Amino acid sequence: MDIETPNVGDVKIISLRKIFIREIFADKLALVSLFVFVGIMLFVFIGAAVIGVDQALAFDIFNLNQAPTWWPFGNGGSPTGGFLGTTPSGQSMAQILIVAARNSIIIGFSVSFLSLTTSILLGLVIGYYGGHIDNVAMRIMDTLVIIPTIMVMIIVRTLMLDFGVFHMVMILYMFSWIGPARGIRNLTMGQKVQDYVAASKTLGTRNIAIIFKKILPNLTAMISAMVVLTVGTSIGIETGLAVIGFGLPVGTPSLGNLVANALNPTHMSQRQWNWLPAVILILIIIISINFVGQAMSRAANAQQRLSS
Amino acid sequence: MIKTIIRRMLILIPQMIVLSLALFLMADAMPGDAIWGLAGPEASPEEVAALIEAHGLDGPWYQQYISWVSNIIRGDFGRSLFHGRPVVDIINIRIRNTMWLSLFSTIFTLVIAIPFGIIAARYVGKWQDRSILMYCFISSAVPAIALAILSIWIFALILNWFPMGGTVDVLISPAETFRILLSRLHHVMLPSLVLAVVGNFGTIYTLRAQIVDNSASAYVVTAKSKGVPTRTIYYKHIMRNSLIPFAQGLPFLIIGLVTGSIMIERIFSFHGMGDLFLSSIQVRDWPVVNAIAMFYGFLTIIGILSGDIILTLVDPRIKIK
Repeated sequence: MDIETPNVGDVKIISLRKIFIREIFADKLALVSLFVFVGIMLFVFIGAAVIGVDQALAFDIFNLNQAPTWWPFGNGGSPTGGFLGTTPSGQSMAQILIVAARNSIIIGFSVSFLSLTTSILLGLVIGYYGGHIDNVAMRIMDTLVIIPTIMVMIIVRTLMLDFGVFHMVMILYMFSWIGPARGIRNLTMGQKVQDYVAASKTLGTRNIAIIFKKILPNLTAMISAMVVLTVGTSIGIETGLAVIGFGLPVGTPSLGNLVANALNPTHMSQRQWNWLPAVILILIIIISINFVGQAMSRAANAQQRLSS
Repeated sequence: MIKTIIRRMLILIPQMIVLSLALFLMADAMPGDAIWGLAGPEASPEEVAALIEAHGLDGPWYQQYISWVSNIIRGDFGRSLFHGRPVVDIINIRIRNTMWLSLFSTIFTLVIAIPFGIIAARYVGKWQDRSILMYCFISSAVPAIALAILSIWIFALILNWFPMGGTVDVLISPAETFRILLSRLHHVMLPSLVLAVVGNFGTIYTLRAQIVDNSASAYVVTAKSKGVPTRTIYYKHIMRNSLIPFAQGLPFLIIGLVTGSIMIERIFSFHGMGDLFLSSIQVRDWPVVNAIAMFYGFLTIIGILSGDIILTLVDPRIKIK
């Protein structure tokens, strides 16, 4: 194999944003996923703003349990059912689904924002300074690892008498920062020994400036992949908690609460429109998020890039 | 070897203390308690006070904590406030079901993961590899809950292949041991398959990466140049070395399946530990809740430890520090 020595003058420095865009375009699936996810987000946020939460939750006692107009199973569709049928309290399923998806996406992004802020600060500091700080932090994280997280989340959930979106975000945030913090710490340790950090130190740059101005930009790609993946995981755990009966109260629709409808035997066997759309929407959201996240983490790792 | 194991175990003691303290304080802060349910609606305040004293719930929290921990060390997890029986007895019944479930999910995981890992590694970059990686990717992304609900709907309700939930058919008389066993098997299939499908991607990734790494190593090249058939190389040389990290991961896999079963058990109304945990927390039966959470924490610790021990046993080059 010939190895060409690159001529220094020829090397082009490509910005990370360009690598992202190139990587996503190189992977058709990721491109489609990005469009799907952004499309769902826009639709759901604009839709929820247009409909309004109060309108979506309004009861219509003359229009209970109607099948969607196009429903092919059982007794067929009902003319007053609308696109996705109506709930046992006469709410329009399509409107509830839009509000629910908006709430779940808000929960996912809030958890992701909080946990990544924590883990970036923590990971960078313990990874950069190392030594005793690192030792203590790692022992604490080792202890946190043995905690049965789902169980503690459920226990904390029962401690809260008043429960809403904010509390749900806090519960999901509680343990979600540990994994990313470890990852960022390891990446920082890898960056710390590189020449550019040594060069900055020789120039007399302050440690804080090295951490946030030199090392952090080099981790952006990996971090954005973590952000995206945390959104997906949080939506998944929210669904799980809701289905086992520890989710948001009924007055706050979320995808998890809609999926929990499946536990009702009548809904499960005859009125699938009460939960099936939510299950499908969750699958679409989570799979598309993961495709985008995968493309991002490939962009972060030059060896795995599909585009060259 | 024994010295290092003992040293590792000593590190685990503070971890257990932190876990037990955290759980105890959370239980202490829990609103409402099961004592009033135990006393009944017509109990006088004196009777309630007597019950509180009988369960050791009087006195400041640190006294309660110390007596709780010292009882646990002696193997006494206290009495359930809701069932009125020793916690150990209640867990003893449920743990069998959970073991049964995790046994089958482990078997299914391995049955799916080992061939998939080998096939993916043998055909790296080909369509077989790409479709297996796609399967791994989707199984890592999809939440277990969504898959469980879809599978109940499709396989239990529409196709009617499996029962919708429960652990055993209650209509069979306990005398018919064989039919009971068959019915148990039938009930455990769907939940354990769901657990296996969402949980086996890690095993496939590890196995595939190991085999790919080992295929490029010098001893495989030597074997190939000596004319050893590809099959023999794969099964005799590569597999043996690829199973080392796999063996280390096995305890984690089993623990993951056990802890992952909390939600699955509830959905399939499978009467295991996870289901017991959820129903106990709903009636604020904190001795049971804490005992189960402690048990799961302890299991995780044992898993991490035994993973390291297995690693040193199968690969003498690695020493635990």
